[in-house]
Amino acid sequence: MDLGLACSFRTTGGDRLGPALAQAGRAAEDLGFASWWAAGDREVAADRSHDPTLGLQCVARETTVIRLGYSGDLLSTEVAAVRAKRIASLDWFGRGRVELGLDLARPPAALADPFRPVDDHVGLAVDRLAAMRQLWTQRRATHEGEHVSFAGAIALPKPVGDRVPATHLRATTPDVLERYVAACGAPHGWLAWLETPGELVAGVEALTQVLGEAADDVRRTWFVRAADLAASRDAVAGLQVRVDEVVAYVDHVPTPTELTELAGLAGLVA
Amino acid sequence: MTVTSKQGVPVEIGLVDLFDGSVERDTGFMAAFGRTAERLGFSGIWLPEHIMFFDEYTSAYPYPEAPSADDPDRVERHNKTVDGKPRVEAAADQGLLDVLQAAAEVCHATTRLRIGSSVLLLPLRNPRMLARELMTLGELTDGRFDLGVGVGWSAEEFAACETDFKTRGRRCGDDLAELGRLWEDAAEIYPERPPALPRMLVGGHSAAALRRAAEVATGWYPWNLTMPQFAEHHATYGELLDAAGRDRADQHVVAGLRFTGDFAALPDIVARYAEIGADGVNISLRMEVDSYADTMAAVADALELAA
Repeated sequence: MDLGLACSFRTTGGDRLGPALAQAGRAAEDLGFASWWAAGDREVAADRSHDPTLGLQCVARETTVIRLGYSGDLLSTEVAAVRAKRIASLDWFGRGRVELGLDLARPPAALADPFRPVDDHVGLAVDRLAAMRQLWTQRRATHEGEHVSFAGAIALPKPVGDRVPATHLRATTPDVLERYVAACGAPHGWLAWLETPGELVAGVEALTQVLGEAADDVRRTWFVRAADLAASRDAVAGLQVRVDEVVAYVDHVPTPTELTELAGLAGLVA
Repeated sequence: MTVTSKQGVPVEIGLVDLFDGSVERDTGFMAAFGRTAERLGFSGIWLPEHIMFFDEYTSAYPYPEAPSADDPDRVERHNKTVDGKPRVEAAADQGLLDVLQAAAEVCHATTRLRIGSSVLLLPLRNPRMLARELMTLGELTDGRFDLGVGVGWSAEEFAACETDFKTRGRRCGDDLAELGRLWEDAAEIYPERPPALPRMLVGGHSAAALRRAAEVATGWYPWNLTMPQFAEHHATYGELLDAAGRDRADQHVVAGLRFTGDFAALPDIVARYAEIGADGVNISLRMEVDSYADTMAAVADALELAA
């Protein structure tokens, strides 16, 4: 089982964001964390932290192997092509290490585009993801959807290898998952964000309800508060469902000292 | 001799160029490009934006003519045309990195150089998400980013980006006003302790663009205007500022042009733009990977930039 890190991009003690992220990124990779996830748009709005993409770019610059994740992208808040370029560019800076986590729940009002009212945010989000996939993989991209349409679009750069970055879905309801699967197929991963063990199990059962045996192929990532990391890691063995990665969430950019302590809790340091 | 603006400060000389996400223009190139510009005394690098390109357009590119190096009161055409319609200068497989990420990267490699968008297609953005990005970019760059905005010219690009082309001007004005509001409304802004609002310069010289620049932005950024055209529109811009009760000294005007002539003509062009009222002049040279440093040095030498 992998152990990862997630954080909100804000600093403590008056530190500047750029240097703090550079220092923390290097430390996290050196300590053996498998992934670094930015908090999702929803958390960023709630805790007034910095932009996930630009923060991840800082981490990408200082690291070479750690996976870079965006844990809660609200696709209904922005135009598909703009979002596609942003993710592709981040992947270019990260040399192919970006993974995308989608949050299909209703966006907070603070993030909604005041000039683009949205009726069906789930339908818009899945149509946008389908459009983004075309832009990422086709030399001359075409998409004909309910909300997004284009033909012959030249969208460069593309994600490294002209691939679709691994796309995870935040745990959601069976009906929303069904709509996602109908439009985009099974997700690569399933993100349980600060859920209790019971919620985590129920979510994976919902995943299985919709996907059947194919649910086994979906990577399961459990985000837990940093203080709960050791207990959560120990609890995984007793759960009725498989977990592939436990990720410790910190509500600020951790210092190297905090990271060393976390790594110790996670068993990454002897 | 350094050219000064009417405000009595040196005219800011910027370079317009692009980072396309290619192997040749990798992060090492971006850093070297920025450091070279900074070392040679340029004020900034300005980055164009397109979200996507197309092989064929029904839309005409609106800036096919630039002031002539020999006589900047006249224009000369430099773009190709297809069926009589001017086309944008772009490679067959043209890429452009996300403009804000590219700006962050070059700022990281430099200490003084300003980076601007030339121009960001504002009607395609959710202003609340853009505000978050700009606040973070301001924090990461110590406020060295300038936001040039425009309404684009490609109906194909706007349609593909889920945005109505005909009402894009109004949308641009609404977005500018929303950005300003978000910066002033402490209850809604994020992150906490945001940096100052970046310079917001409106591109273009249509009546609507001039009005937006004068009424809601903090600057104006016309492109490829001859001296008489710049003088005429600058006068209108000044009248609109007066009507809006805003002080020209608080605004920033950058004249941009595509330049293909002898660099010896540049000092006169810069001086004439400055005499009319430009605080900065942005020059697009379309520099090559192998020779950009020599080209920058030649321009810096011609303009006697203070390294």
